[in-house]
Amino acid sequence: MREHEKEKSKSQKPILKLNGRSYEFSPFSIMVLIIGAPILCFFVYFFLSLRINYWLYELTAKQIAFILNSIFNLNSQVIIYPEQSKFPTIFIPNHPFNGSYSITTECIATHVFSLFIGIISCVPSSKDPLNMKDFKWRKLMVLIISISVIHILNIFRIALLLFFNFNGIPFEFIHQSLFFLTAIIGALFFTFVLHKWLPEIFISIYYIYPLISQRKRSN
Amino acid sequence: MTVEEKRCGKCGQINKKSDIYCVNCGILLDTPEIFLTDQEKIDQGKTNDISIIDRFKQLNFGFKMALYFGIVVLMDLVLSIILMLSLGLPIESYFFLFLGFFLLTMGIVGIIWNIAVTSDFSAHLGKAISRMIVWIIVFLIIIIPIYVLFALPSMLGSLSVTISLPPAVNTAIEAINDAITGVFEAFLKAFVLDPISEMFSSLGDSIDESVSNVEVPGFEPFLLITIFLIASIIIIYKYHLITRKP
Repeated sequence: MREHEKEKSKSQKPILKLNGRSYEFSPFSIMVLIIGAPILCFFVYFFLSLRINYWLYELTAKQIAFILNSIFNLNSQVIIYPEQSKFPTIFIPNHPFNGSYSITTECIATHVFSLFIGIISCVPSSKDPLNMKDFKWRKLMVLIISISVIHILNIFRIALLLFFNFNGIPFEFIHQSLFFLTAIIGALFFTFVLHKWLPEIFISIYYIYPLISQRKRSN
Repeated sequence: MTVEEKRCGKCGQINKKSDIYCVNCGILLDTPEIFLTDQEKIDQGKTNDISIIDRFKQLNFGFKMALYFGIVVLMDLVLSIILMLSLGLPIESYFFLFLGFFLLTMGIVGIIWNIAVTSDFSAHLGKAISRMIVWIIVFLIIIIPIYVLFALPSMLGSLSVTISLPPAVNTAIEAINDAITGVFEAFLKAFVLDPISEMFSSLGDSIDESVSNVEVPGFEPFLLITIFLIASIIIIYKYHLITRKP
């Protein structure tokens, strides 16, 4: 009887109650998050770097040129190479320095998108029916919101970078400064969005602690 | 019942304030102060002597976070300065050292913080002092010799008074310093930088026509990841405090 009770207590997982909801995760789903998310990030980054996604670079370059022309009146032009052998280039006439900027893989925030897609895709769902009901919708919403906002933030970052460089500020200095600023804003925004609509990611990581405590107690 | 009287909790008999035992049923009327724990004394308002740890535990979450990160930043500043001076690195490297040590410092301060909070410091003062002495001894025995070993060459170089050590000692110290620096740089190159660039370059080469130039991301993604990790740790700690509340 005691062994049966021990087995029963081992199989029953702890339940966390937070913000009026119950959370219970399977260890396998947490492992998928911890191991699968980085692997998926790498694959998404590699996929976004493929030539078939050249349209992404073209689209971003055109959007940047649109902002430069409509807000800053720089008369910039986008140069697209038909063989797609080079990255699209934005050319700004009458530039004090070079005036020609390539939109590369890092410029379109590929690493940020791969991180977001990898993490959001691998967030585990709680077994509680109330949480499961709208989980997929929340995941989709978080994905759309975070990618859209980061894309817009990135476009404005590059537009400001080109504008400041056009006005004489050295490229490396303004590039690093703007990157730090947008990295901080992007990371905090992403954390806020996850905390608000997809808290399962944080709760599932914390869930490891009561899971291990329960195993120790039952042993 | 007047101010000079008190009621027995068991039989309801009214006793004088100076009575210790009930005149009717004989039970102890008040718990003598020597039997109360420190927390009970605080709860009953019998003492204003709240220890620093108890005062700290009553702070709200925001103050605790601010204090924690204040300590982490201070410790990181000191560690980075020590390392920069001892390895003779240029001043421009200070910022990157600071960033590099940030997560490590968070872990160290977190462990010490956790030990301090979960330990029972409401015990006798002697226990607390002896615990402090143990930490001081650990610090003296382990940390200072390591610091001296690393910092001695640059400290000797910056002194105006020339201290002449035997050439063999100077050579040995320089050799140790070079060896440790070399090992650290070789480790970083072999296990972090080279594998990442090789992985991406070999992936790029093997799929030649359909793959555009795959760029190896610099250190920029790590900044985003680090900030995200720090914010996540704060949120997870908040959940920990909520679930641990009675």
